[in-house]
Amino acid sequence: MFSPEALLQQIHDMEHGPERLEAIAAAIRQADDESAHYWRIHLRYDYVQESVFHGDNFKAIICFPELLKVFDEHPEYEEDTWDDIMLAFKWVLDNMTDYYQITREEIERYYEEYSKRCKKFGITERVYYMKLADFLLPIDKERAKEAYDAFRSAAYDRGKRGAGSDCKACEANYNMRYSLIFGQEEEALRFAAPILSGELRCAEIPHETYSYLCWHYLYKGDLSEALYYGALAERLVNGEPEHLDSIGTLLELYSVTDPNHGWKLLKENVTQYLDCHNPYMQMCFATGAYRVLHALPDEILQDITHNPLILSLPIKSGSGEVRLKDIHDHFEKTATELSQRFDERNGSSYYMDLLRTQLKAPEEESAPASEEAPAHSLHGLVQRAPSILAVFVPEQIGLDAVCERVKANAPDGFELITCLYEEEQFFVTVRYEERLYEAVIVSADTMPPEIPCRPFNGLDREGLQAMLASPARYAVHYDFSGDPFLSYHILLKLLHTAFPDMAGVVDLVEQKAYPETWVRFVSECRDAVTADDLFGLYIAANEEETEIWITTVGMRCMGLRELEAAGVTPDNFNLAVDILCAAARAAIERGVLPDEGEVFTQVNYGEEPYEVLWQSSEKLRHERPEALCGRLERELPGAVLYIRTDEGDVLPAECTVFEDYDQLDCPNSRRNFMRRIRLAKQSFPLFAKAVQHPFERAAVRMEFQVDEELADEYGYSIELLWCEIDRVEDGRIIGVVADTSEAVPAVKEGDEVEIVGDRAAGWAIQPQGFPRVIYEDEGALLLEVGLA
Amino acid sequence: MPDFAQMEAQFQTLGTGSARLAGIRSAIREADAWQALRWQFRFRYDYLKESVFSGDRYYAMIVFPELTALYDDHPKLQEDEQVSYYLLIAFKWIVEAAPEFPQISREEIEGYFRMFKQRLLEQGKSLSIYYMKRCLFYMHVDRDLAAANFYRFLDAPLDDISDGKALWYDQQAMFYLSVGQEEAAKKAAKPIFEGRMKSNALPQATYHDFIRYYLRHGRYEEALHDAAVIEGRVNGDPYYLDILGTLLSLAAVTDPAHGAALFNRNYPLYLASKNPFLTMCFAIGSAHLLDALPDPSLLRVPHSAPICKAVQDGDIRSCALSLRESASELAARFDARNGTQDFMNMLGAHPIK
Repeated sequence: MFSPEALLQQIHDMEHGPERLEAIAAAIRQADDESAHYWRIHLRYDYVQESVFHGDNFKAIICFPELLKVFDEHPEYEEDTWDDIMLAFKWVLDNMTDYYQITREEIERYYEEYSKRCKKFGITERVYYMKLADFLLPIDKERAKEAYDAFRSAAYDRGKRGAGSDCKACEANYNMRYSLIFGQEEEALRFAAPILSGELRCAEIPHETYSYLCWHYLYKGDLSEALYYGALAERLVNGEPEHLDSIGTLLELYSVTDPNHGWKLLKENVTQYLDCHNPYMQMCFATGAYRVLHALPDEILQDITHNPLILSLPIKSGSGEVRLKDIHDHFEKTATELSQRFDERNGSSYYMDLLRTQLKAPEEESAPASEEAPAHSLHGLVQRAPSILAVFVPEQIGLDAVCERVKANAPDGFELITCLYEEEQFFVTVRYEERLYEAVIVSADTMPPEIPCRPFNGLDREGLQAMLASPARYAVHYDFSGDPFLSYHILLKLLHTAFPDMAGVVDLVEQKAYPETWVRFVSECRDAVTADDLFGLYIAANEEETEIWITTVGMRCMGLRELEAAGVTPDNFNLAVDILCAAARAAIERGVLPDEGEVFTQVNYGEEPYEVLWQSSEKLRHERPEALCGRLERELPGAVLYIRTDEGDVLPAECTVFEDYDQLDCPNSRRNFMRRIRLAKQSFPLFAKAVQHPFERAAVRMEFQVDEELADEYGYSIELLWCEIDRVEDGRIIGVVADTSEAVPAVKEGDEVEIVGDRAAGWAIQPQGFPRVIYEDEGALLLEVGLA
Repeated sequence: MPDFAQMEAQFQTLGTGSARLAGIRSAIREADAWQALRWQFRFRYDYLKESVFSGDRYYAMIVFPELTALYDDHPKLQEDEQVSYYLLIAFKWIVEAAPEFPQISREEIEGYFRMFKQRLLEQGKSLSIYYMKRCLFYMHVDRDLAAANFYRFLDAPLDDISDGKALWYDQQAMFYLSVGQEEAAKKAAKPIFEGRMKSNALPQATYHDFIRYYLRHGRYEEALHDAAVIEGRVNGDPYYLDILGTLLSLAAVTDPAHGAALFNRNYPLYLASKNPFLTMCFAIGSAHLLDALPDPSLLRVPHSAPICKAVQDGDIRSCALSLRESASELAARFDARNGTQDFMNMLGAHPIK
């Protein structure tokens, strides 16, 4: 029996994409069989929507004529559904030009039909003109301008707006696009401002805005701006089939700025390309892919690849391998053929002209003289740099054996795409949650023994010395991809799989050394990576050591500027470090460092919030060279922090407003704190089990309720106090309070309390025979795996 | 010209309900007399809002056509983004309130929805709130259409016209319970029950959905647990007469004496309410309670109440009958409008095992 409610539920339980599309198609068949005409319309609309927003819109184009037919045959549902039909019509108009197979005459007929129906339902033709301009653009720019002008003249007449209108974000994007097309860049950026500030957004915006700005600046030859918008776009469109055209733009960009990254992006999206039925998107992707491969030197094009994703391209290949040159030729042919077909359909040479356009390479840009201050505002996002680590292993092992080990022990959920030992290098590519992660490992026996680094996460100085003395060492080259937290987890998981007997690793960029236990912890526990693990601090001082400069190291691996606190003094050093770390964490967690001069985080001082902004070290060097440390090497663009107060902007060194260190609160740092508390509660049963056995030392940080009056006075209602574990009696854990707090006068140092899990806010244990105390994050894992 | 801002500040100090409504009414008259266009709109909006949140939504239905006419007749108002936003908010409240009046036909309500959708699209807003309110309406009219709207609501993005994340979860809980998916409902309600999501009407409304569900399934212990959480929040508030009605139905089974106290406290609000849906819900619960109440001496009603004499005479059967008749009349009108039997079934489903 036909039950729309049950069918809709079933459909909705599915992920968007091909599976859901098929389920809707099955529901349509049932509705057709039952002659349930309302549902025949409703479900077809759902089908068109699903295909447009979660696919390549191919099936929407096929389905729409049926939808229109059923709608026209059943005028009894017209009143309820006409606005849906006009919406679907608009989407189809928007997308049918993507198919060169649909003739220009047919498209024009659809436009006429749409216009007729707009009049019938009393809605404005502004959408008609809007879409018409897009259709005409590759055919006749003058006529496109006429259509755009007609749209603009109707756009501000509120009375004429109606069903089918694009949302405000899409309209702002559209206006931006056409302003750029007609050479009005200033106006375009005004239109884009609410999108770029995050005020306007929708399912497709800002994705399309970033991509278009990237495309515009790329073809204009302004690679700095193109890279900035490209970096923003990549975060949103990578791996998304409905944005394959934007991925094509990114490939074009990387063909001139970073072909290696372009090659990786190509591999990441080749499956989407193969699944795509939309010729326009195919053309965009093929154009970008061709450009990336064309940018590679001739000798590299003679290389072969075994990458199974690439092998699935329709290219004649040898046994399990294909030459890069053949891939290049495939994409060149596809891009050319499709461009020609679209141009034939349109009666123009628009797409072939674009394909033939020589994109400007970086060296052709006129570099500004280094003495001059940069003329325009600067972006927080920069091109990503690779992350480089050193792995220390007690015994030498050949990389060919490491390669075999990884093949045999690939972690669950990791699809090994490449695992290849070649010319003394081990290349590994894994696919995890639809994204590729690539690392190259080489033997690094010639690495100097003195490596600048500090021990972290359970490693002490002696342990570090022992680790650095390990006879075998390997260097790992790795590019962060997507979410940096996940990226780091995957990197360490790969390393632990490759070198399970390692002594530890040194992150050569962050200058931090980690023990094997921590690497294992992070490789087991995806959530273990915090923002603090993703950057390090580098500190320098003047000769007299009266002024200190601190900069982050490692932010650039995530495509963010390094942050610097300039001219700090020994008196406010702690405070400056706190502000700098809070700022770095905020940027990492959001994945974005906004443009120069834009507030990106805040710190609280007492009740007062202070905004944190940044100024480029390039500019500061020009304007106030004395504020910068001459000892810091600034080869890369940096960001110097400053704070906005009521009385003006100040650098951290001049932060006399923050004299009382206790009053400073960096809200961002509370996340780690709350995470630790959650972990303490979750892992308390393990702790309780551990203290049943003999231990050297154990303690729990307990929550104590502050009574109401004191809570008002102190401004908090929970006090956290450490309690040393004294004994375990009949399963009850008894501790002794180790601190005294004025906020909880009823509890004094030395008091006995029963330790219970729901009041635990942290714990530490040193099992007998274990060399050091371990805290809840590391401890939870170690206890679980029985290491301790 | 009078100082309208001060006038607005003054009526905001009045107690919510009839006193404030009267204060706003005189402000409207003043703004009309001075043809102060923005204040004419603003005060009507204030009036509508007060009517919606102080209890019965009746005056909201009366003033709404005036509000839209002002907006549509004056391009100056249309150019003001804030005013356009207020109009959509008013529309949102009205499409939710309109189904609470059985005299408004299904066609008229669907017309309201169509207008609402049109205006949301005109202003580039998400249809999330449209689908949500439409789902609410169709839950007692056509379950398939309710489901269709519900799933579109889930897919649509939230925006500044939407009711917010808390109500987004609440709507899911309500829908899932209506189709018997208890686990999905609990999952949706979790952030509300944990106190992470709140709004003016939450968590009361969410607990209410669960109480009704448990009542339908004879799971009185669980219903009692949830009732204990919200009773203090809804007792004495005319906005929640529907929830109070459900609590009376529950008390009819679990503790009629407690139900009598709840009835006594809220019966005057029922008599004063002009909202047919809220009064129907309260009357249904009252009918269930009085059917089960063993001791008529527990009842206390105002002297002007239609059942006052019967209460004084200790004639509990007449009291019960009177309330049942009121409930039945309203339920029949709602069901006739909706083309279903939902409310008559609710009245008939006396929850005594």
